[in-house]
Amino acid sequence: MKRKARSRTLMYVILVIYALVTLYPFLWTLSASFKNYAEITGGGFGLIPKAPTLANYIELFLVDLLFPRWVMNSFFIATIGTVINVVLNSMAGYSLARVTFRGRDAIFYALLAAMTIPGQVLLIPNYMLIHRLGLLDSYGSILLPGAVNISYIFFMRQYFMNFSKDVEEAASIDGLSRYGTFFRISIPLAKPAIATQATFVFLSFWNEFTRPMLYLKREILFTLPLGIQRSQSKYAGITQWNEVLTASIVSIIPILLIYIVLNRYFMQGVRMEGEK
Amino acid sequence: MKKFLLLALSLMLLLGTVAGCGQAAATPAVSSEASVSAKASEEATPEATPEATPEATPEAAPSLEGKTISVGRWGGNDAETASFAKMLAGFTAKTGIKVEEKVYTDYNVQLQADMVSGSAPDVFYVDAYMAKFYINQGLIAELDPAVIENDKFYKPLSNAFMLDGKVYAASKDFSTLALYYNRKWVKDGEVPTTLEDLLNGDYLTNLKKTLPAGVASMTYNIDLARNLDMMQTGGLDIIKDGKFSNLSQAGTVENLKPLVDAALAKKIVTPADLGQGWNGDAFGNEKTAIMMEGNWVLGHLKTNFPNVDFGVVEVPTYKGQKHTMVFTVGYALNVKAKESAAGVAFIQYATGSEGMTTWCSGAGVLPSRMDVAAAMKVAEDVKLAPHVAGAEYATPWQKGETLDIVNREFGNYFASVVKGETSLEEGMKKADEAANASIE
Amino acid sequence: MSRRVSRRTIGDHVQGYAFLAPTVLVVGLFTFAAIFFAVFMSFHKINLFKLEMTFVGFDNFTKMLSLEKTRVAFLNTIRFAAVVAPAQTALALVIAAALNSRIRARTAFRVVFFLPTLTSSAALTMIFMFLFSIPGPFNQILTGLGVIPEAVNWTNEIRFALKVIMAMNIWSTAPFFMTLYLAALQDVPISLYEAAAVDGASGIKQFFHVTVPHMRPITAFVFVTSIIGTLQMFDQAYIMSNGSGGPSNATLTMALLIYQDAFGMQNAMGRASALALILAAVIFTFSMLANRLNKNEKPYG
Repeated sequence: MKRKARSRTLMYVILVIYALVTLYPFLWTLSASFKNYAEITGGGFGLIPKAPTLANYIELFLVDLLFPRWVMNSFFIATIGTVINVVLNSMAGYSLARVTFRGRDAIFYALLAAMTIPGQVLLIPNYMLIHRLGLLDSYGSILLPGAVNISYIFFMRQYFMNFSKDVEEAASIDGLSRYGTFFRISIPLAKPAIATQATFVFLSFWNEFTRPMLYLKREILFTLPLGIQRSQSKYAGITQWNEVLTASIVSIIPILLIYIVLNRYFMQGVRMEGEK
Repeated sequence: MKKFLLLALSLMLLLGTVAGCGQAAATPAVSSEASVSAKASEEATPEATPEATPEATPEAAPSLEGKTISVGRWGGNDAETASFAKMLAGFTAKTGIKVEEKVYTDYNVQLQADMVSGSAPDVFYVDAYMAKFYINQGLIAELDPAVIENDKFYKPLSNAFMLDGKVYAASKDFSTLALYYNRKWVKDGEVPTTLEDLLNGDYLTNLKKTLPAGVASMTYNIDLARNLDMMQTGGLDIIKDGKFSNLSQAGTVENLKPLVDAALAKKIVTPADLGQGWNGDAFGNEKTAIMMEGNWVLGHLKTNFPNVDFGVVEVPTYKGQKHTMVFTVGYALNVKAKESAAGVAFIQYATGSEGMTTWCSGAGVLPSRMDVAAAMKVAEDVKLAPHVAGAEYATPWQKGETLDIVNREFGNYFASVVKGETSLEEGMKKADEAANASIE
Repeated sequence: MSRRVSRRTIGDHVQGYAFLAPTVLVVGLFTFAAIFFAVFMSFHKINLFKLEMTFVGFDNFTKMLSLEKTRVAFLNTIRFAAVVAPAQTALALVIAAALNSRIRARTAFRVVFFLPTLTSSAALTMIFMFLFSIPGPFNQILTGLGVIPEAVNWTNEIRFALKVIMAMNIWSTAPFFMTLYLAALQDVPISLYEAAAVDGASGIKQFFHVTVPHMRPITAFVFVTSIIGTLQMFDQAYIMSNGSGGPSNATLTMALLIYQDAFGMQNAMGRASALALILAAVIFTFSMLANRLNKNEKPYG
């Protein structure tokens, strides 16, 4: 019993230390958003601003007319992209995990192979393609190539492989069609995985840099990460850190909210069976 | 296993046909574009010239009214964005030509992609550093020197965009390096006027004794862009046979010695050594008493460090010669511009006295034209004057078609040299080898 | 296999293809078409600006393989992946398991641990530059404890530059994998832990005997994803070294080398493509090997 208590204490110590290591940089960034440039770059590691100011937020939301627009753009792209991805990735993952058909393994390996190519050499061919499809300076250039995400197809595949076949078989005996089984039984059962997937797909659209950078050149269409990048001057890489850090805090908040909301579903299994 | 291979192969073929469709459509187009572009680059020069002759100047051609051109640039700070917009408004009011802005975030990658797929803007920014490369790739149309009044520009700035006596772009503004000192610790006129005295004498060591703990006497940069002028003193060239890296030649190594010695003796440190991102922050935060920076730092200090009291002087001479670096960006006309005449009109306006005055006074940058500089009285500003003076004798940050590569390898190895991990000779030799292996 | 074609198998085929069709279309168009283009380029000396190309056979491959830089970049990349991939995977699993046990403030921990994934890379890089700078806290702690005699400029030192990037990468990516594990852990029947507890297994034993075996498919996925990500590492090396891969090639990775060849004045897209294909082959091999480490699994699972 004593040994158990000691190991529990040790676990808490490790968790708390790790939490501090993750929390500190975030809190530092948060506090930086209330500091002026000199204090941020002055090498202060303190978390309490010496002369707290809202100037950075005012600059972004009231002075810089494009910034609120960029937030909206990112939100729009990320929401639509996430809905499309969740549907398509889940279908593909399910098909690779649960359906038997000719060529399944080959498709799996082809998808794996597609992930191995370093993106740097695909930039130009993709740009030519996007140009030819007439999608430059439109959100189709981001949503269409990003309609599926191989990583999450594999993630869903692993997930569907893992859960028991009994429920599905029962459903098919009950007369549900195979498609009905998928949408009515399998998908609802995969809630934790779907919530996880949705969070990360949203996150990756929200933070996506390469595609917007390549395909968008009208400032009004810019996404948040692109807008943040724009405010850096060319020479000497002058970065207006107070604005960049404040913008990154603004960009974290929506994701954090989504994570907290969806976190409920990650834990669903435990809630139902375990605790109490 | 056999079955798998068969499946994989058939799938690849299937995908191949899908992809093939996309490519079949793309391939002939590419090759036809290739032949067109090859012709275009041959013909562009004679074609562009008559259009750009004074007889056909935009003012004399009202037909340009209502046309729309696209202009590619990279983003800047708020002041730059605002004055660019103001300049565009002035241009449209005067000529009736509308401008569609294209803002680049990763210039080299995006311009390359744009050029390949034929979606590049009519007019775009070109950094002097990349200019010769783009010219030789046949991407930039020749401009008529009379139309852009090439002789009104400072010589190093117009030269930066010329090749074989032909003009390819017009400089929009420039920056030179100068020496900044913090008045709290350094008196006016106190800084030695030669690099030899500054770096190798006792000045910095003595200064250090008067400074608070943690404050350096002087910061420096390890980039080639900051040291090229010093390295080429005595008529040397870091590029040999037009493209090969020649950093390890005896003269260059000898020229760099004072800097390396001072760095090894810790008389000078890099901003990173102080935990600072760049000179401007180290100086603004009063972690260093002296730095050499470009005039872009003036706006930075004013906005973010208004309380620092400082003076500016020209870069100390080296081996008896005045020297500094100059950085400039120009407007270039796309060889395949859809609206060449309107594009030329834009370049003419933006780098003419009206457009340049709007742009430079708003963005706080220095005008490339001597007449505009005189009219704006930039030389009367004590802090700008040393920068303006530098325009006469500065070395442009530009060197043939391979500078990008030489610069990269210099940065790669010089970092080890100033730390004493590699000798200067050895480091430069390695940089040469690495660069030349890539250049082939 | 297809001797007995029942309605069931036909139905399976239709469903399989229908569910995969959008994926095949998108990946085929935007990845495979581009890969074919890259393969084509790798056998040519190509100037994309002038759209000139000449067939050179395997010259690009042999040239890249003979360069000293390629060797250095390859070793750096392998070293990076060899440290980061296992460390990330293990850290993610341990933390996820701890978070899944009955501890106080579990949700708060989850949110906090997830934060690095959200923080933008610009902010992240700056924070790390600060932490590891000469006057930064990392130096203060180490010199304070007497571990090192003098403050070190970690990001600028040949010996340490890559290690700083390793730390940064582990720190910022592990929470992502942790969240994947957490989702998967919800499916491990609680009864298994209860049974193990009744048998007197300690927390650590439960972890090795229940959690680890049950997480195998997810571990395979996480490990492969991590290997692919680390072998393609680009951003952090690019930002830290300003694109040069310095000091003295200490942070030069394969992806950075490809980028250097592909863009700017190097203008050697053919060589970049060749190197990319070599790297892809390496990544594919390692991914397959990693997959096979899962003895219980078929190679694809």
